[in-house]
Amino acid sequence: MPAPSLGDYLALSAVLFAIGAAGVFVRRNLITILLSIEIMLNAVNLTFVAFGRALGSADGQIIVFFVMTVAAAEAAVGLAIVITLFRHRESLNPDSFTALKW
Amino acid sequence: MISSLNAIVPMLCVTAAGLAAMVAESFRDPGERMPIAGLGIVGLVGAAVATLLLWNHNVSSFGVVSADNFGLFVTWILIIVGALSIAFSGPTVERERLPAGEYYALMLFAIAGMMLMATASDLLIIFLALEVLSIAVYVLTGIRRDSAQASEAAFKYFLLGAFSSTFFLYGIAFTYGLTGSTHLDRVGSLIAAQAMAPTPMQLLAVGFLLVGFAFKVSAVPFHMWTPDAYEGAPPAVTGFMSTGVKAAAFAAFARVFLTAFEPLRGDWGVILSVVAGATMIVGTVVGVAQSNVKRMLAYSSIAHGGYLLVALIAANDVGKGAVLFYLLTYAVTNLGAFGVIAVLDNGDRANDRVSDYAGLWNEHPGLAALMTIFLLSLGGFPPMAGFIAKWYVFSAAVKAGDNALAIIGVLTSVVSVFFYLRIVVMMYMTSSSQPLRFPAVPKIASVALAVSAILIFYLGILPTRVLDWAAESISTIF
Repeated sequence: MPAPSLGDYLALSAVLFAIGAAGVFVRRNLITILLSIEIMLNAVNLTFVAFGRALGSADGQIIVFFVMTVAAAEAAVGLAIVITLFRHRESLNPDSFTALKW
Repeated sequence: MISSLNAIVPMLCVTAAGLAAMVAESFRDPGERMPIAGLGIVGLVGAAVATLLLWNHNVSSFGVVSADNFGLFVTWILIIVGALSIAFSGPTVERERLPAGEYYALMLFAIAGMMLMATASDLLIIFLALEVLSIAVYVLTGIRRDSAQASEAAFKYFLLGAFSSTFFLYGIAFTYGLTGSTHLDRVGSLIAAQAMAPTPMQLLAVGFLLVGFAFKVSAVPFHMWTPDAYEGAPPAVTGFMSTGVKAAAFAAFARVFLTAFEPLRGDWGVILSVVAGATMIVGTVVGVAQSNVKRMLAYSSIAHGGYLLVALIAANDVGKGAVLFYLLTYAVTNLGAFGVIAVLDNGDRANDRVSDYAGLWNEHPGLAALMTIFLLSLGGFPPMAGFIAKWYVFSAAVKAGDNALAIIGVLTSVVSVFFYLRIVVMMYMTSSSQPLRFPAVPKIASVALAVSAILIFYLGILPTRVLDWAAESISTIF
């Protein structure tokens, strides 16, 4: 089997990104929606790594570390907000949040 | 070696103040009052002095943060935004019993992130700055944890913010793959050197970055989060995020698209024109239907984002200074309006419906007069600053040949006057049925409101000097 090319990696990350983006809209559970965003971020990470390898520079890999840090901070804040929401509504279904018009 | 830190000194001052606020909070006994807001003001004054000293020096730190006059002008706007927001926050923090140290620390960290975003000259640093400011603002939005509405607003803001930053990051990834660099200068020269016909990859990079920025500046069709987040957050925070976040995002927007992606202007210019037109129309038309003042001002800020986009598209010789001048006047005016809403907030009663403003003239004539000034300036009445700002933007658009955008802009401004005047009519011509519903106005907040009003008249009557500064500043980037 030939080694995967840059195009293969880009296609894979595009598919992952699309899965994540679809998940944000389709899933009806706040935690799953957060996970979908993580999938999107990791799809982008894969793109960075693939480009970095194709260009022969380490920049792509280094950028991924920054993105991972940001993703961790974002997840921490996001989960904290989900907890405060859950305290008010006892539900993780976004359809039950009705204090504000969408 | 230490001189390589020069360009980030303003951010360091603000960050140090934020850290000091956090430390102070940890030493605070429950119920003890501490002048934590003062720490923030000290940090902002330090940043202001540093910005003055850096002016015209064009220094750069680590090759990724360049304190050129453009970035420093926006830093100035952000310092004004920060100082006014801290002044308006006092009553909210007291009344809602918010943890003062955390509140001000988050606000200061957000300001540091905004300053970094305005001065960053590397796409990765812009992304990091965007996240620093966004994460702080998500928490500020939901800082009233006992309010279901605030938690919902925070979650919606967080969800769409995080969603949009992945698009932004994907755009950066394609730019990196295209040019092998994330540095704006390198990206610009490599894109200019590549073939005249844009490649699919270039369009993907531009498109994703555009989507990311459009979310942050709440341009139509990526504006859905704005009214909810603005309504749910405490009014002082809403004022802060509707001006500070917008100023920082527009600064980075201008830097990325007017320098690095300038060679592809033919492609993004068309899309951005459509977005700008739609933003002005939707912001104004939906704003007319609102009965909540915060929601109304949220739609008004969407419409103002549209005018700023017009200024960005028409960045020709006349319009160069228009973006920065508009950002400054919008920041001062909008903060003033939200400041009035913040001081009227009564704890158990938000007092943020249009009908709540009935008879404000009888109870607080000063506040009613100030609110009138802010609303008329938002609507673009002479001699307020909003008029000059709009006039420059529209004349720049006409000079650049974007007549359609200028016409849409003028028409939507006329329509928007309708909903601004609705509040004015409420305040002056309707008498209230329940007297004394408004709290007393704290001194610091009233001084800040007066300062905003004075700035509005100064920028409206004697705009030449500031306009020249704005034009000179932006010419340091292109």
